[in-house]
Amino acid sequence: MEKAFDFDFVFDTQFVFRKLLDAIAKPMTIESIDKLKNSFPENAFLTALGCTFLDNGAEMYVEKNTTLADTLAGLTLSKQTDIENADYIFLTSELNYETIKTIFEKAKKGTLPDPHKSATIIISCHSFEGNEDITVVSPGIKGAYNGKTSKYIKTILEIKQQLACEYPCGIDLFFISDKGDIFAYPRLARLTKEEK
Amino acid sequence: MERRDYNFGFLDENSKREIRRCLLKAVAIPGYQVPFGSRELPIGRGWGTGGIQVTLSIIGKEDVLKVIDQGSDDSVNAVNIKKLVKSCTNVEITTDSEEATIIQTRHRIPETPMRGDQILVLQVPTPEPLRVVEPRESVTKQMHAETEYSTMWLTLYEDIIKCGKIGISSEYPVFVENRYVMNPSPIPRYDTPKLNDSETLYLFGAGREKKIYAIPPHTKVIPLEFEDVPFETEDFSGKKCHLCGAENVYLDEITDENGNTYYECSDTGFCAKRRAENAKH
Repeated sequence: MEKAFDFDFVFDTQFVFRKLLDAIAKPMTIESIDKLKNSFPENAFLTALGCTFLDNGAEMYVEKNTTLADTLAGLTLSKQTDIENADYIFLTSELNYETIKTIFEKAKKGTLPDPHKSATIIISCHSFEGNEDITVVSPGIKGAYNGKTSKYIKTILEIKQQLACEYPCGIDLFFISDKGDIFAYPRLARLTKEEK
Repeated sequence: MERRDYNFGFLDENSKREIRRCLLKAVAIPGYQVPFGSRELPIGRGWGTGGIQVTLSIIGKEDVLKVIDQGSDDSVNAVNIKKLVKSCTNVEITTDSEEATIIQTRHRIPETPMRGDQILVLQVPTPEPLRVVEPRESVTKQMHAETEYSTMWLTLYEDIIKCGKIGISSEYPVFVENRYVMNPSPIPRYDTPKLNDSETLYLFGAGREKKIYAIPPHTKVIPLEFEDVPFETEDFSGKKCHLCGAENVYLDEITDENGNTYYECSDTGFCAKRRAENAKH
């Protein structure tokens, strides 16, 4: 008998979840799920994330990747929906900035009484590495994070910063690279020019 | 209970997944109470089911678990929770705070400072700090939405007028990231400052009230206080543990049948470790 995939829905989802939990508790810290690179024949890391987040109690929107959308729908029973109603939005390739801005603007931000009813956006990118300086402050970061990243990521963070959105409403971002690295950028994280 | 009859971590995967989604939201919105579908467990609601569900949802095969109840590794609640988790996960159990990767606790934060690679799971009986001033859930939810905490401040003020000081002994309300008033669970005042700018992640689970909330590391957590009436912790100056000699720790006061009063560490794991080290020298 040949297995369709190598992903363990009990232990691998727990492994991915702990990486996500560590990542969102310590924004800008890079976690790796590289060991799952062969867990699915296609889109292994994004599928692993989807299987960790999704079931029939959460709705998803997958941008321009019907293979991933169909796989996730089949494995998790999560319903596909439009951007405005999605709990989890998967941006599976590097998109132009206007598209990202539109998606961020349309995504659910929650309400003041129910800020948890907001979207989590999973952003796939080739690499986190680059020459753009950023300084980020957030709960979970001691003082401030000073580091370098790619122009693509920096611009996305700037787009998020420009959203007219009053905390606690907002969106939470997870970035995933081609080699299975993850970092989080929750709603309270912000770019700053000054070192804290 | 036969371990093979149950899923790893007792809960079914859909239950864990929902709790995990709530945990991620809770960490993203520090101090905000995320509602969740609290599951039935083989333990009564009010006996740590919130903490257990959080622990069972996050725990993996490689984790090392410590469970304490009022600082004690050996109380009935702690022992039974350890047995339950062990029987359905087979993870290693410890009494050493430094060895543990996950510590589930009721009403105390361990004496040994926790690290960034550890998680503290707190059991919470009443997560809503505004319940003392407003019984309706729909209203307290709106009060949080509007940051409308004037009645909370008024309650503290009334305490000062009546008693000359704020009389809250445990679960002292705190302000998280200048946004949410949060109940830190019934930890003593002594432990409250440990929540501020901590190295570790705190996860709070209230099973009966169906709420999960969190404080990520390095988050601003300030007890509610007035400029002229600052927050104070319990004062143990001049007292020490009669077993290990520790000072500047949270102590339990014990009176024996002869009326003699003495003190010992509330954190039994910490005390036992100190005694073992003292015995070596």
